[in-house]
Amino acid sequence: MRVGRCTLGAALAATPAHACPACFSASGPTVLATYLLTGGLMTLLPLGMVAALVLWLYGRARAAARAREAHSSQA
Amino acid sequence: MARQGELVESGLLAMAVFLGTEAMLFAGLVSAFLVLRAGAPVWPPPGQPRLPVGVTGVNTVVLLLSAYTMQRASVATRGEARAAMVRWLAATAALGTAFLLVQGAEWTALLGHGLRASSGLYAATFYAIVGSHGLHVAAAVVTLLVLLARAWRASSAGECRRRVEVCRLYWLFVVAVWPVLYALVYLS
Repeated sequence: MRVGRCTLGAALAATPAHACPACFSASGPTVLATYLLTGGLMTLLPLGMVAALVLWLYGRARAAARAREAHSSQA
Repeated sequence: MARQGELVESGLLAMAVFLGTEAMLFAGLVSAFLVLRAGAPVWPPPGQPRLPVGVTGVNTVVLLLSAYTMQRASVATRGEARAAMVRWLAATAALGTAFLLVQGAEWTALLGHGLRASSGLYAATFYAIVGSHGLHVAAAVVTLLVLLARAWRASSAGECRRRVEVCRLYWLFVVAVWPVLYALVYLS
């Protein structure tokens, strides 16, 4: 409980942090559009990679299951 | 090839996860480059030397060719052709080394023209992006040379199959990233 109150207090007391001074101080629609594009890329790329890995493993598992079924039906 | 009961060969899975982190590294570098470039009034900045687009274009073809030779090495391991595997691995290492040598010569010329990492954002982003990729190619060439030494001593191609497959995955990643970087840094 105390830890929670301290965390909340620290979060409220903290000043806003701007991760990228280039993006924060930049002006103009081109920079904003680029910022949003690269932000989207950096957000979606890891999700896409995890999804691709899961799909790949799922495909391998299905192929292995099919091979097992074919083997057992032959036996 | 996966062991009995194994869905994916563990070395391949580990390399795939590692390449995920590498992809994020290059995505971060590319993102920083794009944002900095969009914020600059003129790109490339006036007074900075121009990058050698033609030579690097030829060098890009050399690197793409190395993906083909690496693929042939992988096929040779499946066909139990040890001599062919060694030959294709050596060709891949030679092409990778040639790529690095040309990149090195290019950097030397650019430094001679005054393009230093400290001379501005243009140079800093160029050296950060192209240098990171160069380090990856160098690491891949060293790994390939170690693999080549093992393949030379191996009694059969199948003995090296797992290592070749893991190395192939890394090599293809390094090759696939380069055209994107080339288009962004040199052509745009």
